[in-house]
Amino acid sequence: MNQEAKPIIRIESILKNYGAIEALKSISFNIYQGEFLTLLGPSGCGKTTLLRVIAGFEIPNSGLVEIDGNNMEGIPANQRPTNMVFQSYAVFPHMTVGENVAYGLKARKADKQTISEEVNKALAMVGMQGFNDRPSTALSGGQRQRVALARALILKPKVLLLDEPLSALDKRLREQMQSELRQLQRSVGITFILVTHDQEEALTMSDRIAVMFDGKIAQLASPQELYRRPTNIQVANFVGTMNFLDLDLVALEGNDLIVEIEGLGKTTLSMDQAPLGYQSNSMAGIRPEMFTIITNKSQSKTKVVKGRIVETQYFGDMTYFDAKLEGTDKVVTISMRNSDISFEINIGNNVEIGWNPNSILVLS
Amino acid sequence: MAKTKQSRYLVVYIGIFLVFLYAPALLLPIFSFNDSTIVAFPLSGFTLAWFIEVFKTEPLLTAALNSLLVAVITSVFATIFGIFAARASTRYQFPGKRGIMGLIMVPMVLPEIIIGVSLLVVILQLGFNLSLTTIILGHILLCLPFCTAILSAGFQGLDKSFEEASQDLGRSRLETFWYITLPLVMPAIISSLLISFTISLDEFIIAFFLSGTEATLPVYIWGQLRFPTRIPIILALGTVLLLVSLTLLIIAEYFRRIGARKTGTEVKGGLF
Repeated sequence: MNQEAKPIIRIESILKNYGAIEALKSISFNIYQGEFLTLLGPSGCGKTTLLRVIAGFEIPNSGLVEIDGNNMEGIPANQRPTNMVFQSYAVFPHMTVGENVAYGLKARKADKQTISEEVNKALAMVGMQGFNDRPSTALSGGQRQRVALARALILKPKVLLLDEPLSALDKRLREQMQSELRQLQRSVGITFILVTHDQEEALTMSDRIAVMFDGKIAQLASPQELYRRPTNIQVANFVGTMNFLDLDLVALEGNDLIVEIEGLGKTTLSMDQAPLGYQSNSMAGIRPEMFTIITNKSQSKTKVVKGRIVETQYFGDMTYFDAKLEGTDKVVTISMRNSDISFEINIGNNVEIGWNPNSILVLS
Repeated sequence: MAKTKQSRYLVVYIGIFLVFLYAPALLLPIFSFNDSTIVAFPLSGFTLAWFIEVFKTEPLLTAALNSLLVAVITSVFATIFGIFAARASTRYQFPGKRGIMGLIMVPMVLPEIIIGVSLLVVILQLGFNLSLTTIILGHILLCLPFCTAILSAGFQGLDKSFEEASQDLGRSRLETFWYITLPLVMPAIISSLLISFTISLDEFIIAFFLSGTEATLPVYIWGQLRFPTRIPIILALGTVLLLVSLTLLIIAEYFRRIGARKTGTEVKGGLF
């Protein structure tokens, strides 16, 4: 993300309590013009609350929300330059599709001609042209989603807020809508803020992802950065799969960490591999695809440990193996592209597992 | 086997139940067409005279109009107040909410005679004259709990995000209430109007205590029961009322179902 771009939203020290429950604990970050930002986290982490604070539906106990340079304190939802797509879509059931889409423009007292042109444009944008006179109760989930999008985008908001918009759709439709949403966002150039608990959705759609736990942002980074260098165990666990192995510090020599890793043995890591430094409760994290089951002697540049396959899961393009490392009870998950496997690997087979010290992260 | 035997008893039970419930009401129209002042079998002949008499009896028509007036005004006001109470109780948190809602619901269980007497005492002490207005006040008090209960259910069933979406799209709270909330709770509003209209129309005790010189229909009918020769006219009147209320119910239910279909909620419950 271009950090020189001016922030369209500035959030500073936002605090929100519900009685004794702290929903948001002093959250600060910037969102930039044209960005697709995702708030990712488990339910109850405060991501929806944060979205509703930006929209103006929740008043924070303290802190600042600035949209396009204007302080939003005391400004109600209907006067903010944001629009929202609700989880339930909230498509008004007593209105037709056209009336739903025109609803916001009518509030702005636009003339009939303009409204009808804009409605047609907005419906075309979401692939629903000609649906103007359909009763909105006769729509499928995906169509409702599109109507809700058209209804929000017709107002040309500075920021579009999406509250788990895809969670009610079936898998195939969800994947289709993910790519459509992404394309739509690129073509309209409006800043999107998406709330989701689905890490795959977050990874495929976002420019940046804010991972939230327990009312705080644990990490704010690009999908690539988040996956490659999660800053702690919680984030690493939530985004993708990560193997965690016990870690003992043997020595610290300059920028080198000499460590003993459960099942993998003694190795030297760089301080760069510990994003938040080494702590006594640190563990070694390694992604499943960073292990390789050696099926061809020429790939033996990396370190090798022995293990025994205890479980396999076949996914068509990939296979996930669970292997018990020799001399320990530790089971690690290994993922392999099936096109890279040159012989059959079955449960009970003893295999050689290749790994590279570079791919280890030291996390707490 | 035991089950079918059991269900046969149940059918018999339901049959007896329905006969006791509706047979007396069905006698009403039968005797209203009977050519005799004595309400007893055997029937002596067919006549429409009693119905003609109904529409010729001036005080009866006045009483009927009074009742309609009272019922319409009562239902409108009770429903409006009910909307306020239901809205407040379902959307907002405020101190003493449970107590206040409880107090609104109390007249539902309070004996009407107590309400009637106490209102009479208060109104006379305040120096007001008894009139249709005092009956209306009493009826609003009586209908409010029913309206609040029906409307609360309606407001509770309304997804909050509809209202939030409307505000998000630039509408003020008031506009949102008018364009979104009211249309979506319309089925409950219609039910509330209907129930309070019906309660007010045939309410006797409060109307009896609070009526001055202008009687409502139940009060007028009660007065006429002292004259045996007038009874067939009352029966004819009763038949007319029966038809009117049935028609009203059917119309109201029709609109309720249209409303429910429009808002996409499943058509269930209701009167038919």
